[in-house]
Amino acid sequence: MRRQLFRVAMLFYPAGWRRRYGGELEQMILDFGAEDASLAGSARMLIDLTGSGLAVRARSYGTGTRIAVLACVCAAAAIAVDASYVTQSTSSGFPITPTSGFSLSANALLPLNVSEIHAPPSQFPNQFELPPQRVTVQFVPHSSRVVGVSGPPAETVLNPRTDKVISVRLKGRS
Amino acid sequence: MPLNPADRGLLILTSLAGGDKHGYALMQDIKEFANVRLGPGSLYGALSRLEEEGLVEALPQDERRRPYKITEAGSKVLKAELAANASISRIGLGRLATHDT
Repeated sequence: MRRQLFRVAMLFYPAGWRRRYGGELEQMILDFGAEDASLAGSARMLIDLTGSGLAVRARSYGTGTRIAVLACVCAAAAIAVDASYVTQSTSSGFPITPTSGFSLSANALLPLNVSEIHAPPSQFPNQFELPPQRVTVQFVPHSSRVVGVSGPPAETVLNPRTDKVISVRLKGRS
Repeated sequence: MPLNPADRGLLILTSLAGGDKHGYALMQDIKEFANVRLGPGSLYGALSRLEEEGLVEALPQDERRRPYKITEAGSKVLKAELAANASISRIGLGRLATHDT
């Protein structure tokens, strides 16, 4: 096995393990090569080295670390699923029909997807004196069904068939 | 069929029960008595686990080769494992003999 290839395979092992066993392992491969050069340089040996390296690395983590890594992987997967929902909603023409200048921001938060609609006052000619309004629409997780709308007094118009928000209007001013 | 880590450990302990050996000698011995060729990564992965568990002990290095010996705890574990395996073998062979007749 080429020395460079061996070094790359060794990167799969924890540093402490490499220091302790790396020299012996390299010597064993040299002995191996003296007996059967083709086998020593084979892909099978590379797979054996890298696979074993991953197993040793997994073993070197404590139970707490393994649980933490697993939790991070699960959280990342959940956020990815959640984010994909938000992206899909916004890119497929979010059911809210904002006029130009309406901005929509979505937060991928568990367990609810909360989307905020920022309505700059310029979009409400009658409310120039008001600070930017913010309406928060809560959705059922992973769907476009609306749980509720909060913020300043607002009126939502829902599509009766799909329960999707067609429009949101601020109320109380005319 | 690929060997699981426990099987690898058992092969190494069995080999070391016959005398101290370094990595390459272990591999050759295992090939001879069990007809199993352990790759260097698998062998050292199992060897390091056995050392962590106190079942084998590293001896002073001879150039770049380090011999290993089985510890007292390792001998006890090996004895118990082999006895369990022997019992399974005996029962299994007995049942097969009954089945064949």
